Amino acid sequence: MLYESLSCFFANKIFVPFPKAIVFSKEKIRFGSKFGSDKKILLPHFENSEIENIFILSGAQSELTIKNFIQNSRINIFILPIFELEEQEEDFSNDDSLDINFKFTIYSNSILEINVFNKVNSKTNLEFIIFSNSITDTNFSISNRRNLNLEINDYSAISNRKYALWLNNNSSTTIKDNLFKYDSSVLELTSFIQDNSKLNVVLNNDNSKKEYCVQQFCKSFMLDNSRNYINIMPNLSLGSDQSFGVHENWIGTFQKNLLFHLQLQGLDTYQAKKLIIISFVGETSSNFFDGCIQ
Amino acid sequence: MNNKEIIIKNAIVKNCDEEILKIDNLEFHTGINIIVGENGAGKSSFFSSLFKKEDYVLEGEINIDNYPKLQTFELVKLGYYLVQQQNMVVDNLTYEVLWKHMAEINNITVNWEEIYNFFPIAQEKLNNIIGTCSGGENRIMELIPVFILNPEYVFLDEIDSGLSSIHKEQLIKFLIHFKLEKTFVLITHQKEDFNELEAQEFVLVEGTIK
Repeated sequence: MLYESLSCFFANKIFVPFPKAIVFSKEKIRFGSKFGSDKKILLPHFENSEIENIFILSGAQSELTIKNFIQNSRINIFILPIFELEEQEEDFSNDDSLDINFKFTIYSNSILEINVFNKVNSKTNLEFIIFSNSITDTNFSISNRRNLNLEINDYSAISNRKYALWLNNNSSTTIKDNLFKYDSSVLELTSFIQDNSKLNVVLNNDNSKKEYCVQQFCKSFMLDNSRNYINIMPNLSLGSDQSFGVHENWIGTFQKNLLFHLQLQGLDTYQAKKLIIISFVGETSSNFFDGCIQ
Repeated sequence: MNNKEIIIKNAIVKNCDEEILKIDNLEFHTGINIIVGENGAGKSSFFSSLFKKEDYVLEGEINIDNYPKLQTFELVKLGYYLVQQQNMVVDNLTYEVLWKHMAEINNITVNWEEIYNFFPIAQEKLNNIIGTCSGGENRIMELIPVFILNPEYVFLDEIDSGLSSIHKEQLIKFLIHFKLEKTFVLITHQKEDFNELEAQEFVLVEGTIK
């Protein structure tokens, strides 16, 4: 029954192989054992998976929080509110909304595609912690592919997206962010870059029929002080000339005044840099930066 | 009263190799010490050089063991604390995260109730990004690490600028409470605000502190 509904919903939109995992809930749901929560629905972390298709269905007026990580895998995730499927049901009113809080840690050799089908009034907060390549003390091997491609197709009306990336070992990362039904969106990207790695970011909104506001803020820290150039290309593409776009890009090393300010609080240089990183990526993920801070 | 002195003799303050201040004999004693002087006279540069900010140098006799080899954070760990004049915004970092981090790495148990009693705004603005409160509020928030790190020597660069009358009262109460056990060195343009503190006054004039 559910699979039939899904097939109808996605008819003529995307190819839908049988999903490996389906979660159906009208309540607040949370995934992920790594970060812990009071109420857990556990999904395994994805390692060495060829293709995983994950369908996440959530009920009206609910909040969806996902915390997980993937590695050496290709994951397709489809998030949709169940009230889109059951619009005739009296239980669901026009005020129904689905708030999505998505936090995914992505390690090397992974492709993650996310499709968010959300209600117009709903909000999507997508937060990615992305590691395009490994550091030596993690338990996975690096294959020939050292690239990470992330493509996001987001159909929400309002989206606040936050990325934190660590790029090292001459890796190359491309993020393609496609906006479809946006009224407004804010994309915030913070990257920590080492070893001549490359980053290409494309924020694309080709909706030419409506007014919208897109803001893109990129901040890149060079972790290697000896480098004299950085290869990062943030692009913003707007399809409507009636729309409003903001595009800011900052690239540099850790600011001296900022480090001095934190040193005045009793932190040594390493601790000060780590605290700056923690402020962007959180305590847990910041552990992966150990050893790369000079 | 434990007398905690800072003595600086025959010293020179430099900024990018340019000499900007001479200090013949300077002694700060436990209690309140006030430095006054015209704008641009070099008061803040003196503090920056003492705490080894990049491009600033303090050369001379200073009664801090091994001072030439110490780094900024090591001075702080030895009990010296500076509140700078300029406001610093730290992206994404809240006061709560910073303060708890400071307490954790120094293995300190913080008496938060005491802090909130002195400065109620600390509790109210705990989750603010550092440096994003109003000007006067930022000044007060910069004082909170005094409770966490418990330094013996506290340098406050125009801490009173932009404070409301309520916050100024709280600042005076704070200074009165600690003046018997700590050495405060304040730079100010309104020395009359501190009349009741029996402060020792120093005047910076023509490149020399007298």
